[in-house]
Amino acid sequence: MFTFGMLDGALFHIGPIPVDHIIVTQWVIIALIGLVAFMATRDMQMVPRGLQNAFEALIVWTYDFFTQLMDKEHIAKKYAPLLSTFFLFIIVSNYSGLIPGAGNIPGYQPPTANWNTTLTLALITAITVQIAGFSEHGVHYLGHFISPSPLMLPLNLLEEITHPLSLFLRLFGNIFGEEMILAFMLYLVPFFVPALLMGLSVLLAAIQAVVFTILSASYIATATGEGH
Amino acid sequence: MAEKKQNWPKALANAINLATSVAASVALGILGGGWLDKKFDTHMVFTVIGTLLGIATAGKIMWERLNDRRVSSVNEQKNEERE
Repeated sequence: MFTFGMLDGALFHIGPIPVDHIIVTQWVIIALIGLVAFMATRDMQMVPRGLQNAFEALIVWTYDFFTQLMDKEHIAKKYAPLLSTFFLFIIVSNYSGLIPGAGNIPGYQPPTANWNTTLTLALITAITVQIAGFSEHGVHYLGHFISPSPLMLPLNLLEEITHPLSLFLRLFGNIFGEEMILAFMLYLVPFFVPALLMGLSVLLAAIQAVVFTILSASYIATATGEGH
Repeated sequence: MAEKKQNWPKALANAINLATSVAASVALGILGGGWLDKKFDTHMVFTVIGTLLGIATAGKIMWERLNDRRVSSVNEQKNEERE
């Protein structure tokens, strides 16, 4: 059952904090990503092989990609780990809904189909953008809110709020909608049709992860750019 | 003639950014205005102001992106001439 972000009953409590299945799923995803990263880096060689080789190639490609996107190499190197983490976490979360048998677990849903998760990710981006702007331009960063004229303050503030809001709603809406459609299809036409939709979901899940990461990088690049 | 090299990650980011920011700023203006109207019991005043602000913000975002593109294409031309 979809709870639309509300707790539908905690699995257990840590002190006063209730822990539900969405939090547990996120822990499993974090542990999974951590395990793969540990396996890739536990025996580092000067001439990389196997998993280390694949990861090194991926990291080089990632740095290159973010450098092209953000124009400044030092900014790209500084924020690439965070952006890559966003990408990995979102893509694994999105795909977790497609694991065979996941639908049979009562109350299960991918973390990104819950607005608490996507809002948290969007807020992390929003705070990072402001930190990036201040660390690059110092107090002068505040000037962009009244640029080119103090009359533009409401528009600039609205634009600043728009960024995390669009990140949060797009990811949540897409994954939640996709899960709902899949659930309805499985109920109405249990064979063949859901398989086609699941194929589409594989693509959609990857696209949403890419879009979130690229937009976050773009917002950081704008905050650290020459225009400010 | 030298082949023009496209910065595709930036072009992709600009395209996605423009599409979402424009839609979100208008939506935020309308919904925020509607919420303020309900809160202060003012009939449509804040909705109209919010809508206008949202449209103005969307226009500003589009204008800035257009200028960014113009500046970057001028810079690219200058770099090509230098080479």
